[in-house]
Amino acid sequence: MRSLSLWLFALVTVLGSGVLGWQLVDADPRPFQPGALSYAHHQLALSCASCHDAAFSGDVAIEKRCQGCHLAAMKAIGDAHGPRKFADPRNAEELQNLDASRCVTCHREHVPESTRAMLVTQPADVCMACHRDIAELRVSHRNVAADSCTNAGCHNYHDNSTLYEAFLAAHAAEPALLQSFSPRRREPHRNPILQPDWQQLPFQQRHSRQINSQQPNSAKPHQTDPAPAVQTAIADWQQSAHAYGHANCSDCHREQSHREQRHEEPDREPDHWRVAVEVCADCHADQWQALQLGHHGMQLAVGQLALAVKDAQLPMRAEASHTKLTCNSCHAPHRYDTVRAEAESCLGCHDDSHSKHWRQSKHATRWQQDPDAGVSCAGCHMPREKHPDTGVMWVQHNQSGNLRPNDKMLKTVCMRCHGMEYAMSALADRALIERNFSQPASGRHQSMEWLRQHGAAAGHRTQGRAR
Amino acid sequence: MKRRIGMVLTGVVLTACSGEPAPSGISPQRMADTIHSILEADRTVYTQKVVNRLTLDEKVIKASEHWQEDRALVLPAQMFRMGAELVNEKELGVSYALISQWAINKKNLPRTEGEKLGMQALLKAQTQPFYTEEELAGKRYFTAVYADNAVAEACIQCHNAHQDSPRSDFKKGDVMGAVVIRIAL
Repeated sequence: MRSLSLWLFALVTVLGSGVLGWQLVDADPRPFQPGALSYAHHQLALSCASCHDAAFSGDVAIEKRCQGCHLAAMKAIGDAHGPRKFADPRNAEELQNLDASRCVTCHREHVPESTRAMLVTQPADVCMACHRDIAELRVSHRNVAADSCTNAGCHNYHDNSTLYEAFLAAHAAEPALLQSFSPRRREPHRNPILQPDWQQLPFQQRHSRQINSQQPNSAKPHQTDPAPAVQTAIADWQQSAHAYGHANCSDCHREQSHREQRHEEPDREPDHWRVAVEVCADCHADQWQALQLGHHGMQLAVGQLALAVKDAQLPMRAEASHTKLTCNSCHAPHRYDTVRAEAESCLGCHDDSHSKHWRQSKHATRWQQDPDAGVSCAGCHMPREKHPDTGVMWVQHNQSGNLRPNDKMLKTVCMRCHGMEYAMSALADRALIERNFSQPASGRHQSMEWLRQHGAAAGHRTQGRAR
Repeated sequence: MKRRIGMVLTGVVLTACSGEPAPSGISPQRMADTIHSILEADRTVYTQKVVNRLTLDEKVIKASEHWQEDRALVLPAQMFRMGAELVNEKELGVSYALISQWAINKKNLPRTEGEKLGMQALLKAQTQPFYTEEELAGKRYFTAVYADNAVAEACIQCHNAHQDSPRSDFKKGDVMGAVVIRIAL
């Protein structure tokens, strides 16, 4: 009897381990995670290896994974609190209180109960661990709440390239609306329009036969008379930038294009006309790289299926729930209308208060009059800017890049049209953001008040001096 | 200069990693003195021949704390710190820093016991470096502290006028601070 019990115990243990192992490795590992992931990383919940090289690999390995995704952006802004700032041994004892040289000290995952905005898991007054003497050093900072350091328009822990006294002083007198705004307009088409080469597609005959067989009066495929769906596609394509010397039918609809669709459901019916994101990436490599850094492309970056709208944590439109986030989700296939992509596409999915109020804003009114001079969703979240490597104007496709903290938008977006204090006051007003700036901002910000009271001489630092 | 520092640092690391007391080799003090001579030379040249010449003598460009925003020359102290950060990234067990009794950024005040003693000693004697060993967060270091003097008009103009500078009467040749070099033991 005892022997039977032992055998049963062993059998249950082995079977149970197998099921749990399979669940952990091949299925959904979330039941085994110590806590839910933050909003920042929730899309990685099915991909433990994105952050953990291997089980129990420790903080050092995790730190490398953090840097794998975030280091380039941190270097680009000259991270004010990057690891290199703390590597000198003279900081060693201070680091024993708070090891600011490591990402995971302040950004720890799987602890939803203590996770604040931007995945900060330290208390709101964490700055005091090293800057307790700030009230003595800055008269203006006496009686300032210790948990208000990173309020919008005050300090940005990683990126202080905007929020310093000399910069504030230089822009202190600006009006709410600048007169010097010059729109960054789309490039006009310069190349001659192409003739469509749809007849040369490797699978064209098969596709025409399929479509024509569904039509009562079309017994045979007709090489020179494309099916209506193809005619529509060609008509759309002829209005796109692709048609102006950049990409013909066969450049995207090539024999292998559908086989590159590794980010889509494996059991999906093969569709020779579908074009994988990798095909777009062949020509739009920078956009593809940037897309993978934001919430729209994060799952693609770790080799998972494209994000389904139903899995997003922000409010989304129910009818869009089965949409998958690929290039064609925002850029309608063939037409690739950039005007549609910068607002209508966004609003096809996003259903939060901020998004829904955009149409009532002056930003939208101006955009409807002139899409290059107004402000759309992409105008703020995916701005047209000079590429840091090439200097060529492009659209930043990491829509999460300037989102949090929102004063990252101040210099690169808001201050192209608005005075600094007006823009800072708007970014600090949560209710106004909810209404998508559909009412005027207050135009006043505490940082500027302090500057006027205490730091009138701050601008002197930029005059010819040394050492 | 990087090659020279690299060769010297390699010598120190090899010596430290040998596992046995080296019968001959470069002592930490000589090592620190050598590194300092390189740092001091480059720092003086940049301050005198680049910053001071272009900002004050020829007045063709300004030097700014916010050099990117202002499209200006990097301040000599910033140049020094940027180099120190790059060396730190190599994790060679050697580091250097710029400190001052009258630091503009208070994080650069003398902080460790060795730095405080060294700064005091330099302000008294003004010429001889200060050497000590100290333990920081459980690790032992050879620490050398060298005087950092005002070698150009540009140095004193900036520090005397800066709103966060606690002193406004620096003269050329004054000890304005110290260079601290640490070698892990």
